[in-house]
Amino acid sequence: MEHDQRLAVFWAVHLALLGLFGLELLFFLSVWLKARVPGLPADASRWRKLGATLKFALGIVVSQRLWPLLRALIVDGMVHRRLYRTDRRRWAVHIAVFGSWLALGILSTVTGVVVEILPLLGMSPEAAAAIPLFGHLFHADTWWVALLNDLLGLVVIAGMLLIIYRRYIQKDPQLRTLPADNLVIGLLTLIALSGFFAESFRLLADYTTAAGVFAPDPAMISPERLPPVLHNAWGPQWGFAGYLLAWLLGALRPSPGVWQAIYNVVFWLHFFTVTVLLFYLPFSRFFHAIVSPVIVAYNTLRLGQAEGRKP
Amino acid sequence: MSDRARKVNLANFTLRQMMELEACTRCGECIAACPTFAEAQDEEIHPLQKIARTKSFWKADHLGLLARLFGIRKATEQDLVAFSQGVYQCTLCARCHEVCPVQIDTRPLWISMREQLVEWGLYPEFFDTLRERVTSQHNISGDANDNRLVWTQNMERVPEGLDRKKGAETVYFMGCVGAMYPRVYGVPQSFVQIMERAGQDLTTMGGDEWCCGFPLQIAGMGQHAHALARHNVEAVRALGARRLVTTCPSCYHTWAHEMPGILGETLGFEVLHATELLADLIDEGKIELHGFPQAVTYHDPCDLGRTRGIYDAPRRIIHAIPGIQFTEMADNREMSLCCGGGGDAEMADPGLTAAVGKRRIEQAQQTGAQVVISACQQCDRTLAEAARKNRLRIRALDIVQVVWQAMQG
Repeated sequence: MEHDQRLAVFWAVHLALLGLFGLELLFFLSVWLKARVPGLPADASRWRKLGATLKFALGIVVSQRLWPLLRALIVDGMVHRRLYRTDRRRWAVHIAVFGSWLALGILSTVTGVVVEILPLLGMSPEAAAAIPLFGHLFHADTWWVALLNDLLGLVVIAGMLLIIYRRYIQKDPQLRTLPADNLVIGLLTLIALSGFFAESFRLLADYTTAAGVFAPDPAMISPERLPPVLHNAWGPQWGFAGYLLAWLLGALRPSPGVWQAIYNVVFWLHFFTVTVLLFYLPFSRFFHAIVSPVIVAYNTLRLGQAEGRKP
Repeated sequence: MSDRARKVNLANFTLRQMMELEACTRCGECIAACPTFAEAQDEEIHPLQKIARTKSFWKADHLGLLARLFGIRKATEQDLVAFSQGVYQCTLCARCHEVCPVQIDTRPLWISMREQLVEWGLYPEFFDTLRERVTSQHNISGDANDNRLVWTQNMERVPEGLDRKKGAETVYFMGCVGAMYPRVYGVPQSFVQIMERAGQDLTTMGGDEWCCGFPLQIAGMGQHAHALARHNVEAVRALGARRLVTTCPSCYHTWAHEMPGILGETLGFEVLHATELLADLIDEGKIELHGFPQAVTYHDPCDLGRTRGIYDAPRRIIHAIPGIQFTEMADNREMSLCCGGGGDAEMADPGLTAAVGKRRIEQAQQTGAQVVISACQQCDRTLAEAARKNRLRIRALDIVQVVWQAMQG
């Protein structure tokens, strides 16, 4: 499939899925609101409970408690201070996987904005690519973007392998595995691996000459995709692991079009698994990735205040 | 109750608890920390399973087709019975909260689960007796409530004004265990004598003291606590006291933390645990300590430590006693092991709580202590029983008994 068509389908499905994901979250919230909200009668309407909850949240945001809350969100909700104190090995694995997923997610989102949204707003590719720092995200082969994607991808893969080792080989007695856990771990591993391979096959698809030789050159990419302003920052070899894999596979020298076909398959596999995970997320244990930072931050704030009242 | 009627009533949980259920990462830190699971090795007991079960139950009942799409099935009777056993075998020690990376406030969550189980009629039968006793006799023993001062009968001299003296500065809330279980009569006896010697104007509510409601609240029967709270608060107000002090951490927690919420109003008097008051009186020089020349260790009661955050006051008292040799146990303060006597679990499974108590008393003995001090009559009773059953040469004493003995010199 052509690049533009693929991206058009990608964004159409992706945005639809994000909308569906949002609806799922709203559905969950509507059910949660059947629960009690402190200060209101148990039979209060869900709208009233929602109003009270939003008022309470707003009360924190516009008060001096905002900074302690943000601090707790980062230190406890994202850096996981308590796990660090309990077991540094487990903390390292969790932070590697969680942090890298988060960073990759942020990187992908910003890339999406630069590559897709800015041109839609009338900005030319050349102008978008010329934006200081963020412009480099216009193409994945600018040196630091390639390096960052590769490093984060490797950390995620290593983290997933450690998770699999601890759960299925070492069989840590502290862990309990449900069938649903296997599905989530399988999806995450597939996403990590397919993302990594997709990058290698993209390099092969983009930089293989008509003679079938893998010989990367920025001139091989159209100016619409790699504006000349980025040529100085071009450096796919900085994505060392993906580049090495592409270089090794390039030696196979298959018939023309094969790399593009494989890339298309791996790209859609990657996209499909991300899509499934996104849809499944609120029903899976992975929902904690969204809810737990909020709960940790709030409980840290709440229990900290209770602590302060103690003699 | 039929299976169809057994639908999770989300009003038994708070919005925060619903989110906490989802926030559980299933990391298993709580499994390693759970003292009852360590003894029973029953998968239904540990926190991770209780949370997983509850999530599965409410999703099956409230998410309809979506739940079935993702393989979440409605609970069977067998599932619910197993869940009930696990929930009621918990001692509510909240050690799981201390290790939870997402800081789930576990203790209130377990109580909400019990409220749901009570609504379903799936709770140990004994709790009906407990409810009957507390609501009709106003104490957990079932004895006539007028006997609240029975422990004064074998005292050589009873301090004056103990029975409902109007205008006394401090009301001593004895608690059901302290007032009605002979094994721990020494606690109220020691406390009132210390207060008299320290020149404190102290009285009790006598037969007007009703159970604080804690045992019913933690059993999931908190709806009965309002009448008890109202009666007790009005009784204290009628005496005109400035403060209320308890020797029982569970009563203390209920008075200080639960009652204002139950009644929706501030109490109008200060609430202290005995250790806080004693530590202050020692600092002020109103209590003269001569010595307690024994090797001791201190057991943090769950309801005083993890629930209310009081760790330093009892240690200040111990360190102030001349001649005492104090050694901490391996697990102390926030990570203190439970004695097994909490959470009404003894009523559900006495064998299990005895096993939990054994582990704790053995840990106390490993310090070389002759005496394990606590600040809770229930812990005193459980630890003493564990020492007796396991033939360990270590005594369990309440901190007020140690202070009183230290005052004798």
